[in-house]
Amino acid sequence: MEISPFWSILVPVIGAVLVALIREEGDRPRHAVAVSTTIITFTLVATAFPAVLGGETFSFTLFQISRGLSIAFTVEPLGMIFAFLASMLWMFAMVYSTGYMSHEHHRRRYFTFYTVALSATMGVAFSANLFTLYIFYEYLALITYPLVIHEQTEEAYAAGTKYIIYCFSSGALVFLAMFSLGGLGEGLTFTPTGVLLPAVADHRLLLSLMFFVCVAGFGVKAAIMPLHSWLPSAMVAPTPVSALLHAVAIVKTGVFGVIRVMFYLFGVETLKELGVANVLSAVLVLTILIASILAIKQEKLKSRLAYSTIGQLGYITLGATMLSPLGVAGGVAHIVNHAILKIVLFFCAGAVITQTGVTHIHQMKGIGRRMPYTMFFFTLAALGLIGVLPLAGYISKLYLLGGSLQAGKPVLGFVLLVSAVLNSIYYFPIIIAAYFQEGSFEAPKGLESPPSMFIPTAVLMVFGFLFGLFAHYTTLPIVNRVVAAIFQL
Amino acid sequence: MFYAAPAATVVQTVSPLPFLIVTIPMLGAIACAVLNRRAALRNFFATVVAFSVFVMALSLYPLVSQGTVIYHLSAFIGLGLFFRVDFTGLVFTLFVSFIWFLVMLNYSGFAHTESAPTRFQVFMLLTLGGCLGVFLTADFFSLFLFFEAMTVCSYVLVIQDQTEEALAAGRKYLFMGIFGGLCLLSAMLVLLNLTGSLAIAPGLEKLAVSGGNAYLIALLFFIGFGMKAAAVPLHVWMPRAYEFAPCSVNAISSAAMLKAGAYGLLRVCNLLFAPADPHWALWAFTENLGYVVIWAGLLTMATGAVLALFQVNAKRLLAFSSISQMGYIITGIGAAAYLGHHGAMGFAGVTYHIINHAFFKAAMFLMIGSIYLRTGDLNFSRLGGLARSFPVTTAAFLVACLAISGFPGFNGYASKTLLHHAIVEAFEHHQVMSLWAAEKIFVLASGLTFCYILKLFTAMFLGEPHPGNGELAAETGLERFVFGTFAAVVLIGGLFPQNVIKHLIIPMTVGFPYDPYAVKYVAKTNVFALPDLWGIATSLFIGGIVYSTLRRSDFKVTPPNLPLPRLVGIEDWLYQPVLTILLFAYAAVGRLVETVVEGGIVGSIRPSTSAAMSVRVIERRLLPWAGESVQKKAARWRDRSHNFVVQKVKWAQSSIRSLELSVFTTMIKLDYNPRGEQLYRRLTLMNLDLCIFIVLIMLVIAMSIWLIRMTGL
Repeated sequence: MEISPFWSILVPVIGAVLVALIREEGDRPRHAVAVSTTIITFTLVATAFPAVLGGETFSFTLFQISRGLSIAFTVEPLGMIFAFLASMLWMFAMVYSTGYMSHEHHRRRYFTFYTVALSATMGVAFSANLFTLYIFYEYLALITYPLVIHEQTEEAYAAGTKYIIYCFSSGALVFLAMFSLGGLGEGLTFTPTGVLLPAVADHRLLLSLMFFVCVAGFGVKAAIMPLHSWLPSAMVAPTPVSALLHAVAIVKTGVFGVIRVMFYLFGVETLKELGVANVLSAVLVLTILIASILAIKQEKLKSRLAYSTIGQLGYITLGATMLSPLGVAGGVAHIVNHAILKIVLFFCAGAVITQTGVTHIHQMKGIGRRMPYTMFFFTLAALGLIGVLPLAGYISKLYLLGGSLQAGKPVLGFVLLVSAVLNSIYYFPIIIAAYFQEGSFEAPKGLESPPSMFIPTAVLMVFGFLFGLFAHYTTLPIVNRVVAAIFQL
Repeated sequence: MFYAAPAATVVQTVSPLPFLIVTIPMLGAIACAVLNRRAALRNFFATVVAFSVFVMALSLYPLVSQGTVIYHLSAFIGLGLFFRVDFTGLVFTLFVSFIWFLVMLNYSGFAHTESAPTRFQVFMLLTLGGCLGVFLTADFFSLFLFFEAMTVCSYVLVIQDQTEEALAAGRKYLFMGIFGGLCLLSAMLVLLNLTGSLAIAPGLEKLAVSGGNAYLIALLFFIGFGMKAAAVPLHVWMPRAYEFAPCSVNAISSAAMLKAGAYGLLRVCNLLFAPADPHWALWAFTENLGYVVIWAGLLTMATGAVLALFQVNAKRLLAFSSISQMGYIITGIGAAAYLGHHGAMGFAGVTYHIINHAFFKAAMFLMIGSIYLRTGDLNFSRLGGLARSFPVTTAAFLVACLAISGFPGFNGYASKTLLHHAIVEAFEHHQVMSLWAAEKIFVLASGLTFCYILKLFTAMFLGEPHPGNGELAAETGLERFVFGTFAAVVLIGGLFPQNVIKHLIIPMTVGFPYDPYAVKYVAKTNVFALPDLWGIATSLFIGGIVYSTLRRSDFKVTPPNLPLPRLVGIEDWLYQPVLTILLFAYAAVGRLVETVVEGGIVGSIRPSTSAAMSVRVIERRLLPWAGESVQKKAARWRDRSHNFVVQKVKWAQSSIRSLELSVFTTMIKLDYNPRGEQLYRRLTLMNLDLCIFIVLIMLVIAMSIWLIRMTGL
């Protein structure tokens, strides 16, 4: 049996231990160990990718606690997408961190937790049942706490407290759902068609209730609207943390969890039977619109990006709630596209913050002169998120639009269009300020930011292009596999 | 994905030319950016690119005159990009690319005096690619892609000067453009949902059965394209954008970008909302649509003309003039739709006027641009008497002025006459009285056009030169060439309308479902007929009267303080407040939700925190006090009992010790005598053991008791 992907859960832990052993001053060996850990993890995941694309799945039970309660892992397309994406971005973010953190304090603590969080994410991706998922979900929340409070200011502690309260309340909800549903479906093992369909007849109310409990549980991290406010506050963390954890890893575990629960636990048929997805759609519509409008009001660059994330995560979940193949495909593809583009935006923001000290948008007038390439990448990524061709982002939005038609709910498509306009309203002023307004910035001497920050940004932006231009050779094949499994196509 | 090829009834040629026409300007833009430093080469190159696009469009002519040219890029990023060029698209492409070339050529003459010329040329070329793409695509989605590319790229052109005002105007331009794009996409969404196709082809059969949704689609399309075509009240982006954008941009905007909007309207109103089968009874729908569009056009026409009348700045005046002229075009589109199957006259008027307006308005903008270069000001108060310094410009400007006013012999006359015919036909179609009024408004607006043009021309070129301007640099050969070319085109279009109609306008109707008889009637129309000449004379007369009335009030240099223009500027009292309120309301709701939930989640630990706080108070204050007092009490009790016990013990000890001492001394006394002595054996009190001593005492006591008993006392 092929178990190499499962090592990707363990490797970061080993790496983190090694990182932790290196003293504070040993930056170079620490960077080497941390970066190579992520590379190894990525390689482990990537080697299994072709097989998963080919239709194979691997599973592996670590141990059985009792009947129907086990810690088990499986490698299947949806988890593979998430694991592949996370481990790839982690690699770049780690390289970026080495540049960003070079003048920060507590680097040892930072890199240790940054490395070990990868393990939790891989665990989430490969979990084969709700229990395992829950464990890794909580584990991830706990591990990332030191990263959130890294600055150790009053504000950071407050944000950290809020973060931990939100995460643990969400964990509690998941736990509640897990125990309420435990007896109803085959150990809550994730199967593409869901396991709860047989229980619908007898436990309709319980299932509907637990659906919302579960979605609320994962929805905290997916920043579904009333439960989102930890995300903007958690932006006090260093930028690579915001970038990776709050635009990509943590929030995406939430979204991933929601999708897992919706399709792999409940299943399309069950959801259609229960009719609960529409309620969630309505909530998400509000999430998308309100978050986009709040983003317009944000003056701080990172906060604006944070609210933008909330809206964009709404797209993903909205795609799932459409319960139509194109909608789900769009949602899952948007996990990838949004991750790549948003991490570029954060990397650019981080570069701006470290190189010029600018944190607010009104200070960014004329910054295109000081950081032409960085702002160029920022522009491209922002355009990509708005949905401009041929950058990644348009393809998922297009699929979501198609999905809304397929589901017979053009209203949802209309919301996406309005939101795209709102996206442009909050992104364009930044770009305009950077390039067309007069400021006091001067042209850079040499490279505009350290190579360790510049190169990952550039490479990821190229990916942003490739994932848009060649979506049919990159994202879509595996996404189609997921959709085919979910909808039994 | 969105385009299903129609049944091939006409000759279809596959050729990559359409694709090249849109990509070559874009590639050229990149090359221009690379040539940033080499100004002369870059100017030359940019112009050549624009010209080569025109040549390529020209080379499409033989192919398109036989049928349509198609080119499918099915693999284009998963969507497919579909080009389909019919004669209408080709004509639009031709005149747009030609004007673009002239504008680029003109710009290269003074690029060295401008700031950021590279950026300007790069984005000019990008916008060109986007704009031409609009005319060459086969489905609305591909059209939309180019349309939006045009909007976004032209934004950079609008803010070329980078002043605060230009940025503000540009922001409005951009966001309204994006909003228009949103409407287009929404329309497409509904359209796709209803019919399953986005092809630019007659689709009323499928649409009409959907009831209200068809009107929704029409409305959304109208907002989307009308925004770009500056239909009142969607025109609010335009005056400011025109005022602060460079004149070259205004030239291409008037000539091409507004026309892209008009093109969209034309395709929607007269093609999409037309039934494929001409004898179908569905024309009633198109008729209703056309009626509304006619009135939208008349509103635009009248508003633009009235507002133009009150402008004291050449650029702003021409901006409102463009709005007014777009009103003619929109009215024509409406009339064509209203006439339905017999709408060829409206169609001919519209297409002809689109071409004519493009040429004379672009020429006018370029000319005031070259004047602005020298004077740095376009307010009428600072202009005058320019005819002496700029003879060729003045002549060309005069030609353009006569054309826009509709003097016979100039191209504007021909197209306005056709439009007038269309309005009259529309009235006669059902004898609706409101359309009779429409005709009157049309005539009146033409009069106002003449009036404001008269004002513009006299204020700029006639009269005494403004003393502050000093000696102005003479016009260059390049400028003379460009303006002369424009004037020549205007004259050709005006002097030979029959040929234009026959060779350009009539072939355009092929793609549209018009009655062949109506088309023939258009071909036979002689625009120089007496009633038509009389009609335009009426207009000009009205214009002359208005002008001579108004000129007394010094309206050339004083901005009018009338409520009307402010009222018509709905932007300030309608859009802005509505937007602000909406944004505020949404943001407030968002904040509220955020605060409440955050209060709920984070606040839910508040009770436990306060409990903990009170516990802390107890712990800090009460417990120590209680503990202390208990401790103190206990200590006192402990001390007291301890003392008591110790006292007793001491007492017992001392009493035992004193007893011991007394016993000891007694024993000592008893043992005092040394051993072995006689005396020791003698039983005395002194040497008795204590026990014996006690025994003896007991014996004495016992015997004494016994004796007492014995004696019986």
